[in-house]
Amino acid sequence: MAGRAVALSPAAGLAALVLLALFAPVAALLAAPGGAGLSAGDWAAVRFTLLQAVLSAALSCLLAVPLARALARRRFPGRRLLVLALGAPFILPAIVAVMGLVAVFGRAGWVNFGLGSLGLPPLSIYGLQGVVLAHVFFNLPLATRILLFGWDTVPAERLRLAASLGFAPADTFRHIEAPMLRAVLPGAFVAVFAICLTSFAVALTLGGGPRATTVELAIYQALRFDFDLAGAARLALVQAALAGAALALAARVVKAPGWGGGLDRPWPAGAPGGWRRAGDAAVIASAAAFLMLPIAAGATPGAPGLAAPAARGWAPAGRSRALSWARGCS
Amino acid sequence: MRQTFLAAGLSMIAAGAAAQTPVVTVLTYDSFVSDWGPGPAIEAAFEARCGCDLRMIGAGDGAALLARVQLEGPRAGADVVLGLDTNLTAAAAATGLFAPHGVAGGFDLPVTWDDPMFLPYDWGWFAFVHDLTRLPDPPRSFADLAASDLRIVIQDPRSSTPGLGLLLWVDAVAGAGAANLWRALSDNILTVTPGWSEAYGLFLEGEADMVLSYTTSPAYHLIAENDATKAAAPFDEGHYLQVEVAGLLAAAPQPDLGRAFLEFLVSDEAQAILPTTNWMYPARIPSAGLPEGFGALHRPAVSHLFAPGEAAARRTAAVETWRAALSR
Repeated sequence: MAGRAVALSPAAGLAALVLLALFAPVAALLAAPGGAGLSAGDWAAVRFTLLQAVLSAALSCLLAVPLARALARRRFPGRRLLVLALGAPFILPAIVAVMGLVAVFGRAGWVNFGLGSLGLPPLSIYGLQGVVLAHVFFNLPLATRILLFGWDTVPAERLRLAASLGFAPADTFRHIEAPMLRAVLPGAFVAVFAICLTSFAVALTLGGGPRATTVELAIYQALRFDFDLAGAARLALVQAALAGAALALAARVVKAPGWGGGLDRPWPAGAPGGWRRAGDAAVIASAAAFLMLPIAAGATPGAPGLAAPAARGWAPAGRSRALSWARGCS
Repeated sequence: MRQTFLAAGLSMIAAGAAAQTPVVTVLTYDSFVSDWGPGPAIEAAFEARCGCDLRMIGAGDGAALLARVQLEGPRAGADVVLGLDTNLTAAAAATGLFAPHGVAGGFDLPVTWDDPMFLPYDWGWFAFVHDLTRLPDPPRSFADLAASDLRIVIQDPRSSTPGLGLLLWVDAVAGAGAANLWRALSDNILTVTPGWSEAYGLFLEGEADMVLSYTTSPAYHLIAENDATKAAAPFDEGHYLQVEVAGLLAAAPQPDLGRAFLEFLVSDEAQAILPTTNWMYPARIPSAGLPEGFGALHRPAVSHLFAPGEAAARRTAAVETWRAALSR
């Protein structure tokens, strides 16, 4: 008993320290003078933040399932490179990525040029759909990586057993892949949700105006514009609570597949051929196009849409009072 | 291990050398200290004459700068704060953290200047910039713009000083009609970006017909890119001004050097650097005159600028009006 208590205390102490480091600044801000409660504008920011984060996380995870599945069961030249390159949007500065997306999907972008020459009405990237599009662009690779890792944990014995029992691909999905997804998907969802919760520059730039105010922007406003420290702390607590609630919810949903460890590397030969093979190829090709085209557009000066000012080392006309662009959804 | 000792020894030598040279610390906004901003040239020119080490620290944008000074109070450790504008100076003065700059007056501003606390170093008019090849005939007023089907990109007033400048511009020309004007403009606003760079980038990508910037922006394209296709649309009702200022902190560790830096900032040498690095008008026209390219710029006949106290009193209501009108 005593030994156990001693063994636990360093971990507990560390956890307490981390919590202290996380919440001490918030507590300090809350202690500053100011009233309690959120304004109508704050609540609108909370609603929009939740809506876009849930949609972004859901869509990222939904699209990641066929992509990760195709990448997990197919072997082709350049696969490792492709998996590596899928991480590129995640490390791209937000403004470069947004300008790349605009070059492809914007009013004067490639997609609308194509639609226009077919006589179809243009698509607008400005609004909730643009925010979600950009967040999926940033986070589809992350979700795909997490799911790929999940597929890698499926023991090969299971798949051999399935093959010897004559499982159709649908049976394999139901009995093997679905339980794995149940264990892995909630985590991927929470990761993307938490990242999009703190979205700021992307949400505002593509959101189309004050309707697209996120909690992160409201915190910025309270701290930098109004110098309302207590207000900033309240909003920070709301944001932390949303992330915490998502985490708790995911922990309840997660159910371990319960097949224990395997002995060797997963996915032996024998992925289904025929139309499924063509389908996987189509999924991989369209995901690669969706993720790579905006990067190419953002990094190629002289392309139909010019590169972002920052990418061209330009930004001067000097008035860049912009915020620092953190990565991802910020 | 040996390397560690060597590094420790070297850093002690460096510290010893630094102790003999006084350090002046200037808190400013990020783009001022960037490679393409005025920072490097200003630093070299001042260090050549002061026998000191000038350290410029970027602290976000103008509003972030003030928030940092407020948070750190007398412990900021800086001598000079550079990059506030008149929309922020009332709040800055109210902190009691600034001391009079002591620099003699006489500025080339469209308004008279007698603030003993804050020293203007450059200024400009806000304007909508357009591409002459795509929009040869721009609107001549806010009403024209609202009646057109042109698309504009603006900046968020809560995170960008041009964004706040536009709100005060609308407030100055429309007064009680500001809410109606914003509602009429709402279908012209393609999107609202957090900072100037995103907005200007979207405009250059061809996403919008006009972008909120400065009357001096076309000079950048003309001088730096040899491109004469960009112009600022003159509005009949006049243009709102931005005057950028610097101030001496009362708790400055090096008040004399800080004051010397402020003197230098409005000297011929520094003022000649600003137009083609910060792309604004200098607060004192240098003896060599304005750079070529600035002469062709539109100079509005009517300038608007709320006094600092009035700007501070109006800005919260102006942001609320804007937010309510655009959230519909």
